[in-house]
Amino acid sequence: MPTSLGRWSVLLCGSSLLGAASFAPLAGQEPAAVVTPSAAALPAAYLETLPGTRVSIRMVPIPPADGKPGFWLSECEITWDAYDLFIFGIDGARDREGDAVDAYTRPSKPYIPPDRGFGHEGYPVISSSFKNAKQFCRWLSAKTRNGYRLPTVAEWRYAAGAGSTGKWCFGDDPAQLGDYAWFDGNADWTTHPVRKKKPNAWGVYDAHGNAGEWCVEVGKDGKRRVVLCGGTFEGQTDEVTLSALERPEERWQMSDPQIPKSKWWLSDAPFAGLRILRPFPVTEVETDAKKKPGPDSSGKTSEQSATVGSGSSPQKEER
Amino acid sequence: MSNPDEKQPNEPLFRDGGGFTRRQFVQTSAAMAAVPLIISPFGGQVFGADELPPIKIGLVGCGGRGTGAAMQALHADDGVVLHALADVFAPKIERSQKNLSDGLWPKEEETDEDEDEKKEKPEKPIHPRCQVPDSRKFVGFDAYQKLLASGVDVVLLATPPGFRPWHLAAAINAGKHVFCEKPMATDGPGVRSVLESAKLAREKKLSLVSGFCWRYHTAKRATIAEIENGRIGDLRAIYTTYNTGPLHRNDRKEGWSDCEFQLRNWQHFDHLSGDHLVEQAVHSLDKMMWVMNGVLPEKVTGVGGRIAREGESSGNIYDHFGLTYEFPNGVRGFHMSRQIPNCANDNSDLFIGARGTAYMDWDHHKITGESEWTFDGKSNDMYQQEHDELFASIRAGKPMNDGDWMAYSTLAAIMGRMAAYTGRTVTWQEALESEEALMPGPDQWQWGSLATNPVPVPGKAKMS
Repeated sequence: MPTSLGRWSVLLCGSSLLGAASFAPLAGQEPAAVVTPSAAALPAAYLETLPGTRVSIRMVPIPPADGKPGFWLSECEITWDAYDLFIFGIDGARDREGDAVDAYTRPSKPYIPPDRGFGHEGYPVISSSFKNAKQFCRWLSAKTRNGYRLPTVAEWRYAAGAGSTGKWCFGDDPAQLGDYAWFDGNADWTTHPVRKKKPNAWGVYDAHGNAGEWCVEVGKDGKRRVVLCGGTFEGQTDEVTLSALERPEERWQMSDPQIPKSKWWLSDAPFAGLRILRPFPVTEVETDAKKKPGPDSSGKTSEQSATVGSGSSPQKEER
Repeated sequence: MSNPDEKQPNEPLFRDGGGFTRRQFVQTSAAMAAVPLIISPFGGQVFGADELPPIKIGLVGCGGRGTGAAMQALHADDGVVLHALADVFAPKIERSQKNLSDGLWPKEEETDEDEDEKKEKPEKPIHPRCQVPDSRKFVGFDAYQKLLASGVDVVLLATPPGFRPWHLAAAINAGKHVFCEKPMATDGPGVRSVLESAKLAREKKLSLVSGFCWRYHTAKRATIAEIENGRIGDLRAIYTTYNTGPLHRNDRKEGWSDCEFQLRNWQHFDHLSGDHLVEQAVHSLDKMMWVMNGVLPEKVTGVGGRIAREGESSGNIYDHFGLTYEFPNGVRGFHMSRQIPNCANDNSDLFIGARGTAYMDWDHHKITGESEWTFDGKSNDMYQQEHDELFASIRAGKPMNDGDWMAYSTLAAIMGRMAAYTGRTVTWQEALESEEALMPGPDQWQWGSLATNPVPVPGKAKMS
């Protein structure tokens, strides 16, 4: 099990922890070399178990490509099992809003049941604002001392496609969509438990449909717009593709009776969920490669992600 | 938005008029545009056809819901202006005005910004329709009276519900149109006062619109209309749920009196909220009353208790209820509500008839049985709809009045609470005639110490 990111990097240079030894020889290569290891050289998938609980999130490796670094992506949309620990502070912190434990703001108590009665254990998180999803990543990063964040649109599409050049991860045949996705054609207007359909070639489940997944779209103007990727259970065939993208609308909070409306919960977006990303640890080779980022890279290093807004302990561990 | 050419499918039983949608009003305005000048219903002033005569609103209770209601009023049509604000806490007034103003300016695109980047942005100026001078910002327990005397046309009542019967009576007496948030009272005497106010509003031809928002929700209206039109046959039973988590609480801060502490945790004290059954789950009971179409429950028996609430700020209310209402002709209404975290959530309604079953929740509206039906129309913003209809009714001079049924739905919840608290079967008449006054009157509204009722124990607690 990986511990702190700092230790991770150190270990990667000289040990074979978690099958990551294949990165060690990279140190001997030309510094600016583009890292394109074969699938066999990838770090292994792992289970991130939330400390003090039996809740875990399985992270699968997504290989680097075209000069862009690889990363782990949660194989499933994040479910309520993990989110509840964060929302209700049942990770050992007191059960109160605005608690200072971990120096994190927790989401407010939702006025309506955010799961809409669709289902809870094993069901994807829905009704989550982008801010809520981002805060979950910060909380998880501090809890686990691994740097988690939301994917960029480019990262999401790459990982969800798993090399497919078609509309969907399996190609262009809509007849196969039902094998891979919960969408308008089979979902009966509700979310479904994760991991009930086929995964893509890299082991990512439910990227098409079910809950939409919050991502960051890095524009040419440098703005980081927030968007939902992958379509939702409400989406029709052509709305749950790899290029599907929905921008937040005011009506996603139409039934929130309060002004200001909740920063955390979207009363009318029972489809807004998330999937999380963790960059591969930065090696010297990769750091150099990062100087030439792809057109849609967020530019955030894993270290930044790990320490953004976190308490002092992770930083102390790493430096 | 509903089709203006069609009659609203579910005109509530007691509504006197109105039923105008925003589109109907727009059409009316368009028809008027042929006439160069129109006469305002407000004092006979003359305005250009493209300029709506102003309707001045006053907000009593500047919390999140009140501010939300004011925002919807401002969005009902371009002639609505914010005129006066009242609250017991001065900072809430300022926050409310700013939030309303910000909400009227065009909305910015949502981006992934750090908090520091957000702080650097300049504040927006106060919007022209939200200009409220300090002389019309009223602070204190009597602020509502000053607001009523400040020249407002429409009053939005959104304080904790314990105050509502007095606020409503004063507003109607002062000749104001009213948007009245739910619930309308927390005890029997309060409900009787609301019924009096509703009667007076009818006599004075004032519009009185309730905050029972589901009655303004397109999909719910369509579903109830299907039931009324006989799609499930004779109604046999109703089962409604409001099972959710607890609401926000504030720990007591130094310098807060009992009264302030209770007001800042008003949802959790019986005199202010009426218990979560009356404050929140009343929506579910209102839907039960809605489908019963004016037929009142004869009696109710129930259980309830307080098992997971802890700490002073959790007040003196229960956290779960299970109730059975008995209507004439053997129709039963079952209700379950809960505010406990990490439990199965459910906020839905089931109507069981002789020939089919109708089901509604936030996202689904369908009927199964002999004649199947699913709502596949476009739904609406029910909160906006309330205000679209209210302001259209005022413009059209056709007052609408939700008063009687909104009072009865509130009483249905109060009688359920009485049954659970006492362990007795409570009749409609007993609840309506109850002398149990949880909320003290205006002569006792002041800062200071205020004892609360003990948590009631069924079998020991008495009804009065």
